[in-house]
Amino acid sequence: MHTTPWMTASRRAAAFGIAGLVAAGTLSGCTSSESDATSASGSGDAEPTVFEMAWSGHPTELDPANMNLLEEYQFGQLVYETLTDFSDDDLAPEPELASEWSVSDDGLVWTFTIIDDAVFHSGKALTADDVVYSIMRLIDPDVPTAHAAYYTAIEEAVAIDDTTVELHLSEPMADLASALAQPYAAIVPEGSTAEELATTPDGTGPYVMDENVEGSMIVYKAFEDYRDQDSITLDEIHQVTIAQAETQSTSLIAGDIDLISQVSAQQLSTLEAADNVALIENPGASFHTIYLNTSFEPLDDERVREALRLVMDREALAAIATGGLATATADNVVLSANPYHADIEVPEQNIEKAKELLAEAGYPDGFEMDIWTTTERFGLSEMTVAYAEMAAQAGITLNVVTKTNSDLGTEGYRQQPMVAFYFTGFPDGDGSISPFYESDGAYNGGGSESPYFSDDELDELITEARSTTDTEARAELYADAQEIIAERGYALVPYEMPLVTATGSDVSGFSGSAMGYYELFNVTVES
Amino acid sequence: MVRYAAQRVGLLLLTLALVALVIFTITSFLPTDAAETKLGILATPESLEFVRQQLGLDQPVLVRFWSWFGGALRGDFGTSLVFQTEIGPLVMARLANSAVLAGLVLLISVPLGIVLGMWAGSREGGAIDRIISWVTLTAFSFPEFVWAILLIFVFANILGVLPAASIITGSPFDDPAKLVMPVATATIVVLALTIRMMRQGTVQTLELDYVRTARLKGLSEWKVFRKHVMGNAIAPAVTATGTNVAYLLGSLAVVETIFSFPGIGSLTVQAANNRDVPLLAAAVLLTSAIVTTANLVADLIVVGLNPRLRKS
Repeated sequence: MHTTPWMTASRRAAAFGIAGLVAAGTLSGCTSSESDATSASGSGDAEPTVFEMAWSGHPTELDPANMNLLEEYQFGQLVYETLTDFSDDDLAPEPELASEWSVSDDGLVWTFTIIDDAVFHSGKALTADDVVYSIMRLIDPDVPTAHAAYYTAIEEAVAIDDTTVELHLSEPMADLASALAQPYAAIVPEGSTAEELATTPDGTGPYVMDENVEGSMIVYKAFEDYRDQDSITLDEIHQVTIAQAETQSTSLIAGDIDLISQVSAQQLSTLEAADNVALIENPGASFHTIYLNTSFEPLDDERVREALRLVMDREALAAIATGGLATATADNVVLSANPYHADIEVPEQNIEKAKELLAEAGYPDGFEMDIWTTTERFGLSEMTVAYAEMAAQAGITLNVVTKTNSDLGTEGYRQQPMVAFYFTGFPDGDGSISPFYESDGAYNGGGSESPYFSDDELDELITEARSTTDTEARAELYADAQEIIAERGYALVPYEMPLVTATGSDVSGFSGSAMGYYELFNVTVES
Repeated sequence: MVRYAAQRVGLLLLTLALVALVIFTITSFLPTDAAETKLGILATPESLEFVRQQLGLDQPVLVRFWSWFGGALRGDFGTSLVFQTEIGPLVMARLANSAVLAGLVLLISVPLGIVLGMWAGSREGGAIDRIISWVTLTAFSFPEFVWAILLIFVFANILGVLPAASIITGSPFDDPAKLVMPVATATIVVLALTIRMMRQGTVQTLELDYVRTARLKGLSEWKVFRKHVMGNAIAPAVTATGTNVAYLLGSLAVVETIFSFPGIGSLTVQAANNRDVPLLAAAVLLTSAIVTTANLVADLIVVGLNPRLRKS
């Protein structure tokens, strides 16, 4: 549940972990980048258990601090570890390389206790110095990393002893433990250079990168010095790149692969009909939205925006765009997998009320406007066309303009009155709301532009929640924020979509994740 | 002949330089660059500027081209912007994989195309000719991706006898089953092209006066065909093979992408998608070199086969 491609086929944006808002063997084997690390696989006489998972794209960025794609996060999940991890149940932060942590009363000093039995693939033992190096590398102003903006509250990381690290903040950041669970906050060995990390990854994770066939496949082997050997049930994992959805489906049904990472709605019927395929649905992974650019008339008028909200039949749009996979929402950017998600009543379509509001705003005959969309994100253009039909009932003529996904980002965002986007969700409250609704939010003009939307009450709630370490109190603040968004937000979110993963029916122990990448602990393959 | 060959080689080198320049120039006009592709458009301006400096994208396009081209002339194609690995070994390894596919396709399609083309041409208007013509026209009328999907549907989906994806890590020959569908897909269209060219050459040659004279001399039909038709009819087939190499390399981009086969074609597509200009330029340059060299060799063979052309 991260990022959002609007830039390239699978590119997801950087800031705030939104990977992309905007979102190869050889005869000689000489293209492969091989790790020197030892692995458990192949040490015995038995045939190694190999798990093949298909992804539509190949990880190109192997330096964790600059990862942007889900497939890169998957690489990070197997090779690296973070101080904290997202729990499988509710995505709340739980211990990983940090066994425990505490925060000072003023919320400005976080103290992490580092486990003492973690070892890098190179054989080096993990120490607090590695943690300090990794965190400082994330925020180094001289060498900017892709997600630095997410960690601006961190001023300094200090090693107190071999197993204790303090993070000193300039302002409270209640979601810090969640922020440190992000794959780009992976812990790397002290002194690792960008070049080393790009070609010879060295993490403490359960799997060692054994071979990288650029653009085609990564081979991982079980790490024999991993501290919890019992949870490693696969000797080898192959992360293969199969761009064609049909080829993915056929390969899974034929038993050539064991998992399809992200099943699209177009693949569903084929996979559902197969008797040797299991589908795992994790709700609240992504959403479609229509951005209303308030710097264009008449979108600057709150009544017009409300009318555009009321013409929307959300259930119908969910059915049309995703074949019923999606769930209607009340413009909520905090998705149902998020621990801070609030259940808000979904507004009904009300064409008459919309007409009244338009007349009040001085548009009794409606108005005409372009709306940009793309066919490169499944269901997005269908949603846009259907929405234009709904708006027409209130006299609003929306001219649907189809562009590339990249164009939506480079030429649509901030420059067009209405643009439809695909976003992935985010596992914490601040990361979900502030990019869209804080006055200087990254997706709300980014601070250097006039914001799409500025609301003092929302700004106050976001700021207060950021410094509120009590989870329940923070949840209440975020619930209030979600109410305001549903009432007067600028980004129309008709529905949220689940992440569907497909495995062979002989795969057991796999539970999927709305995050879109997997640990693969305790997964077994029968045949 | 030597002068002709030297002229063609000179032209080939000039073409390659122009191809590289065009790639650098065209890609500089694209709305996104490798830095934006890496970071996403919501990256901070500082991050983008830093990555552009790291990748050398802050330099003017001509400066980047000369820097890259100078290295390429010394055999150093630089480092991939996205894969962050040396381009030379990467491209050569993928070329080796594609060479296996292309070699198998040509090994099947050239001899078979010559035999079937001559057979059809020697029976112009007959049932064999009509059947072969209809089949080749059908084969040629559908693009590779249609044949690929059809083959996947039949042999992977329904029969389940061949893998739908051809992902390999070691030698392509480690698992020959993974080569079958990519080779078959490319062969269908290339074989059809070769048959049609060979048939056409045979029909035209059979209508020439000296063939009629040979028949009037009382030579057997087989002798006429072997001594007077085959040598002349084969020239267009040789030319066609040169052209087919170009067509084949284009096909491989499609075939390798559909079957996820790690070859030069799929690498080129990935480089274009990633805005990885040095890698794209190197891949296209090598592909262009192969195409132009194949055409040059084909032309030289044709000139060699024809005494009149040799003299002129």
